[in-house]
Amino acid sequence: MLIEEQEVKVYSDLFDHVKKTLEENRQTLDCNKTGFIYSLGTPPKEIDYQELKVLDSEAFLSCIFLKCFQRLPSKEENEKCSEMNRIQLLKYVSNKASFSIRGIHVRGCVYNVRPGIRGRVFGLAAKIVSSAKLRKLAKKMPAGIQSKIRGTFR
Amino acid sequence: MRKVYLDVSMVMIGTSFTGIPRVLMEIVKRLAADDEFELVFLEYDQFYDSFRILKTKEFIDFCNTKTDNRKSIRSSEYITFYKIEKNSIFFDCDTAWKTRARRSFLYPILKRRGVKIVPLIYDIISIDYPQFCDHSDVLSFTDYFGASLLYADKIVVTSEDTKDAILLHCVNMDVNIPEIDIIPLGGDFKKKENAEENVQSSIKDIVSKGKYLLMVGTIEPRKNHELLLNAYQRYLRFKINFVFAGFSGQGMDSFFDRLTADPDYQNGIWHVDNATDDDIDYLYKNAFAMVFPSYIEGYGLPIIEAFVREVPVIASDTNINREIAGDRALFFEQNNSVELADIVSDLLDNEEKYKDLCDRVKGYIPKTWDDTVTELKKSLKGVEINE
Repeated sequence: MLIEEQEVKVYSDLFDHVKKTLEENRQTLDCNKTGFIYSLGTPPKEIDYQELKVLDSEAFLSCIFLKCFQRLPSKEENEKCSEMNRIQLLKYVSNKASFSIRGIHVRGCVYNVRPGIRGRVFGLAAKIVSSAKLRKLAKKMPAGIQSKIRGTFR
Repeated sequence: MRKVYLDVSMVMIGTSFTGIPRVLMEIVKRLAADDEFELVFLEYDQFYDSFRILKTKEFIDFCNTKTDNRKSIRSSEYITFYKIEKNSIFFDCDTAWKTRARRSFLYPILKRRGVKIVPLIYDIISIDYPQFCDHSDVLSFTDYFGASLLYADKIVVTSEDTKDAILLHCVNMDVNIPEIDIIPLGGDFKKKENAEENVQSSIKDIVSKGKYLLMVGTIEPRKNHELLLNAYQRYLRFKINFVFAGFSGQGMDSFFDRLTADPDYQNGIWHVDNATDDDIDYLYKNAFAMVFPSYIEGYGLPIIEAFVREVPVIASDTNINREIAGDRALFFEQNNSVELADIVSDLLDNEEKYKDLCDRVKGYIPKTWDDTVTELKKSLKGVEINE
């Protein structure tokens, strides 16, 4: 964990408050609490695999998505990833466009976790993502196309 | 001169300049004019994993022009997180929870270096009303809010309501209560001459069809448009028209299905999603009343916009609405379409009561952006310097 022990309580209490409020409103927070806590303090481009070895598989899944993409896995991603072991999961996320665009590096892992060809191609799109002109153009597209674009670069 | 760093990464990639980006830009334009502060604008650069320093004058110009061409704003200078100077102020007023450098990572580094951290927390809706928010955004905001409580030297908020909400969390979690300054937002509420010439004919057509209740704002769950639709369909049909003016947000499919299936859609009840500023101004000025049924708001700017145009307001009875509207508005129990319908019917039937409500909003003088920034400067000047 990348934050001090005494600070964990604040984040933990806030997480519990948010989760309880959602449940009172008949919604479920599909995030493992330990996974959330372990995602705190993550540097923008680096993930330490050794730190995550203590996590169970559910916490690991939540954590890896929050660390890499600052978001939770979608329903489809959840279904795909639920049967994967950790290394498979790491390779799965590393092949996403966003992993490459963000330039993330996984250290402390004996397996080579690097973007595949698809990831590297989209990595070149990093400059495109930050172009205000192209973002504006994308927002004018039909909703279905916008959704596809968003999904590709998430 | 005290150095003030502002991470404006989200504004630099933004395409829309309403809401928080708008506030940031108005603040920047005025803060820059004060000789006591040296503003340094930063944008996270993922290649160098550092902040890129933006050209100050060019960024301030961008706040005026809002151009799509931003290359000229970016310099070739960088500063790492670990080099931001002791006693400088890190004034975090962009949508900081969405940036790459999450605050649970950044704030401890700045704190260890003796940098003074001052987040501007617009609201904590994601924490207290997460049911209206995307869950990933809720977790990002939780990261940011937790870090603010733990590391901020001072927190700036825009309402008593937000301050009270933060304090409640501090008490419940047994966390040291940070210094919190309340600085209400201002606005540009200049009356426009000859704006009517630019109003779309479709808008004029709506206004010509008779008295209407107006609701302004993005169509999204927390604004409770459903309540107005219920009130119209069950109680107010044939008594008064309804106009919803705002972009369509997420999670409103069932609302739009009901709205477009209504036999009075486009002839008694309208959704206007492409209104210009002049159209909105025209809709306000001709409205019987502006209705504001939100479950929760960070501030409630439409209430102020209505008052400036001397339009009566009927709002849901929430702390923030009471704080912003005071005794100038009429309030109904949140989510109570019967009470809302009763209030509207009463105003329609009783000229005296309606006149009284109209009189309440006459002579309203809103805060300006200059007022907001004057108070903000005072707040920033009050941030302690450590030896």
